[in-house]
Amino acid sequence: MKIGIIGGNGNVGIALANRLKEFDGFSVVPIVRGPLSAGPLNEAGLPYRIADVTDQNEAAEALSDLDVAIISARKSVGLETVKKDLEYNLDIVRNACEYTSDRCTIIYFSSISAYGKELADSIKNEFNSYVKEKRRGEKIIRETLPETGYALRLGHVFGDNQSWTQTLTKHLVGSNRLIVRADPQRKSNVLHIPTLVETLQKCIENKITPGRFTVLNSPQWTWREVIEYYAETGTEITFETNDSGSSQIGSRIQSHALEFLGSFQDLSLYTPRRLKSPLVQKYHIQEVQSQIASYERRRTTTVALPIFDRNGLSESTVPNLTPTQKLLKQE
Amino acid sequence: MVAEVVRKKYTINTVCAINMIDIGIIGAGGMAENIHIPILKSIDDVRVGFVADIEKQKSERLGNMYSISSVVIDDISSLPRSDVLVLAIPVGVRQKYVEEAAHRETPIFCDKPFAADLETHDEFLNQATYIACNYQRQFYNNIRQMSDILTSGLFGPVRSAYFHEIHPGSTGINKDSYRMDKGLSGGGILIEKGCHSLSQIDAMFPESEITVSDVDIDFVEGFDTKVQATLRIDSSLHSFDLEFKLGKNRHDSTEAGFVFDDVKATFDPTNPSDPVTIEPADSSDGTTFDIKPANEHPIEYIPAMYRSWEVFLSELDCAVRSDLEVATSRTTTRLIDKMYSDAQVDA
Repeated sequence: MKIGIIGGNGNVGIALANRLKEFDGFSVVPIVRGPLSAGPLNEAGLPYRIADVTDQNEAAEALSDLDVAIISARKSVGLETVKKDLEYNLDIVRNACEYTSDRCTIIYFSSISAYGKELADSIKNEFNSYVKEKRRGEKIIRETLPETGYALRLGHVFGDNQSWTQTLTKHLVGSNRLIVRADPQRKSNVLHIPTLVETLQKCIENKITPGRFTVLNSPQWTWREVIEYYAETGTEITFETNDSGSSQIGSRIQSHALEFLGSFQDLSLYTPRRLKSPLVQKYHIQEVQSQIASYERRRTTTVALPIFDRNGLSESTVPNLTPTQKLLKQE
Repeated sequence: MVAEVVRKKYTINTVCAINMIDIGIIGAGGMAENIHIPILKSIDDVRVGFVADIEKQKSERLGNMYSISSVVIDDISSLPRSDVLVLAIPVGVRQKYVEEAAHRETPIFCDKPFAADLETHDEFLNQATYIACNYQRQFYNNIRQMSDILTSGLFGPVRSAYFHEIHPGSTGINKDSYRMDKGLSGGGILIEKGCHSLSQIDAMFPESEITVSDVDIDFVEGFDTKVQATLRIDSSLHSFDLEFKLGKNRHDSTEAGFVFDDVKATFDPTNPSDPVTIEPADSSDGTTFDIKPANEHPIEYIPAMYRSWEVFLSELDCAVRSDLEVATSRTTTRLIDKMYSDAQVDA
């Protein structure tokens, strides 16, 4: 079974290539745009093909012998070239459908962002180019290859060398105390690589009917589970979901304390005896709490990622997935 | 809907702590008013149950100020029950409270110095269920970082060192202060200030043998006012003499310094925000580097006190606790005891 990964030099592409090649009967061929993109594949000892799949001739040459084509490629959209770049990305999908053989299974990596407003109120479906691109890509697959095409709405991909993992662990490693600005019970929409691999295996082996699927950890992990998975043992973790967290309280106390302390001596001079005691108490407590707040802020790492604010989706729609925890342990 | 309660106060790492710790404070003086009660009111799961003093006016004043129960100490056995007893009282009057706390199996948190002499120190350790001393300077960032440097052998073995603590100017001690009564205070500058310095040296060399010699103490009307001594520090990594100096001579300066083969590390041990400065051992070209303070170590006095409380509270109800000799810095009391003893002999 020859499996081509278009965009196989990306973080996800390389992770998949390294795992899929271990399956009996699978041979994996990452397909990249140019020789510079092939660098990491060379280092990983993976065979590759160089082809710009948006070019018809190159697409025909690179894709015609594949049994499976995974579309993982995506060009970053420039501010001034949004429309052009969007069409470029859709051309990859179109040409993959056009220039692979009839028997070839096509697997398109869409994204949960395609859910648009359902994922986050801030996403304006009509105006968000990424949402539009992914939905149009799904439509191409659905209309062109109803019998052999899969569109996978991937969750936030986590795993070794994955961007979100690197971003998160940068905050977690070496921190004794963490404040995580997330609802710990909210479903995270995280997708670990082993679950994606299992999903791909089901698609490749036609164990699930072609169509659109949402691919997430099985079962969905809450943010508590994600953070605790990556945090070092012994880390004290606190979840805060609004701005009235300790660091904000510390700031407010500090600014009020400074304002208060500056005038306390004068205030004390003119304050009746019966009011002095509560004032002194307030002075001591504010001074102390201000310094403690400052110390707590120093020794506490605060983690706030944009994906924390996304609404939790329902469970993955890929049937019969092995629990992700189990797959990770096996790795 | 928020699933986790947003913290309004700071939660101690209470892996071992019991729920809602009730704390009784003995001594309604400045430490209780300015330090212990405000800090404890900043900590979740902790409640100041009462403040007690032999003087009614003092305990009532603090009780009213902080809206906590105030107690006049008459019969110690009738003091309210608590989960922890804080002894914010002079060393000279602690004995009976330690005995009562031991009888109740109540853990004790003492202000420094811990005990007037080594014999009393050991008696306290033998009696108490759990007892620790608030040597908060041990938590200062510069001490913790210097400890890491020394323990790791980063710059190799120490060749020589000095620890000078100088307090020029007014003492701020009124004539009716307990510090003017040796029976209450235990002595002069050595036990009052020197206990801090020695506790910091103890903290930096945890697995070492520390002995003292060449003790020279100036006394004024029975109170020690200036101390010089040589501390010998021996461990698997280091073996050197440390020059210890404590006094008020304004021509001296407060500084701790450790000299290695190629490098010298210095800092002000009385200033928690002072960084550890690294320079060539021969100080030839004036190049210096300041080590950035580590986020987890306090760089202010109050957070150091808070950290001291944090460590104490985290030990409560633990199956395995820190060594009491370490928690009370027995080494500090032993060295002070020896210095006074040597000085009296010489006198």
